[in-house]
Amino acid sequence: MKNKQELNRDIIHKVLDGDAAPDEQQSMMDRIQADPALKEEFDDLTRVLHAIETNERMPAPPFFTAEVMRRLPPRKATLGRRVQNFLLKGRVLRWNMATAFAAMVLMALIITQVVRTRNTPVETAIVPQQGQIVTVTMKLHAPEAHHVAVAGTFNKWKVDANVLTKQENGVWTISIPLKPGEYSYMFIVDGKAWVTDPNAETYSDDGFGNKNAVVRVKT
Amino acid sequence: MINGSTITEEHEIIKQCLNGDADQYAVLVDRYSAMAFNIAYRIVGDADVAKDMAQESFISAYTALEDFKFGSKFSSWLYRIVVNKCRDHHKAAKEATTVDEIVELVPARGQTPEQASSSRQTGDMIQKALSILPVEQREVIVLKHVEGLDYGEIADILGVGVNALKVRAHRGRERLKELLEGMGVTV
Repeated sequence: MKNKQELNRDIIHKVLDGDAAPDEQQSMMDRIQADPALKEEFDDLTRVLHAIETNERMPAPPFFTAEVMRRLPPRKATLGRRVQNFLLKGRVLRWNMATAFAAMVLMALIITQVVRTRNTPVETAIVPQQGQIVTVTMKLHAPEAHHVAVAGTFNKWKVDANVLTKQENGVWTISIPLKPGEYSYMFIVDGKAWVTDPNAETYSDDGFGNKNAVVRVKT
Repeated sequence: MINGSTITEEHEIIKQCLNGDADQYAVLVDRYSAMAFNIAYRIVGDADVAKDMAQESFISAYTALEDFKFGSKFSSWLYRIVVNKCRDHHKAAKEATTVDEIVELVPARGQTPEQASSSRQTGDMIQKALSILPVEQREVIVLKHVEGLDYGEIADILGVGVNALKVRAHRGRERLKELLEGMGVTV
């Protein structure tokens, strides 16, 4: 059998847990309000919980994702992936002169055809290509910068894998072939400042003030 | 709040990872890095250790993706891994920590009201009080009152029944109140 103090404690925690039905909740609150000691205990616990619940949360440490991605172990490829790799991996071929000449002629014809049918440069940032690969052009206006790179989920957040080229107008650009999907990214200016793309399609916000640019690549 | 479309999207990302596209995993790491870090920090009480625990959790989750059950939420699965990493850390650190060292975490009484009322210091005191709670109470308090999860989800994460969790939460709240009062913190 519980004593009065234990019963009072049960009431307080039932209210704090929101476990009581609405009418039961009201009668419990009436009981708490009517008992000064019980009310004091309830108010103290409510304040403690409020302090915990509203206590400031911390953002993830800098480069958290990049460090995790760098440390991921290689995954053993599935059968399908191994077949794909077998079919697509590079090989050393031994050709005789006649075969090599034929291949060169064929390559020249293909290049000529591509150049002939090529349109004027596109203005859009995302250009569909064959084989579900899409070229994404990223731009950052940073006339004072000496070096701009882009790191993101597409390059495992490597800060030196994709370096932008500076144009005469102070805009840095890079075109990267990507598979369809969603990619977070940031620019790294002069090797130290992480800059969010001000013209990104959208942003991923973790709710703690950190913002990555996001590009969605569709076919 | 995680909705159905988010869960579906995350399941697609996991499938892509299982098919060898590891880069997609960064979307999940980005999304839950702060959550994993904050849980670990509240449980272990040290930012550097918490960072290690959170990063190790993501790596363990990735390594064990084949075991992920597609009927569940990635976040719940990750919560469980983070909590288990923190438990392992506590087990390893337990032998090296004496009771005297734990008591030293509690600051001396007699702070000025100005000190105690500053938000930053209140946050530090809350963290110190959490660090003193028994681990099983601390886990429930963190998941319930810091992360805002309901008892059903916490039960799934910790593998403990709801009634037992409530008892831990009740005791944890009262102990926290006593500890904060003892520190002279006005909340």
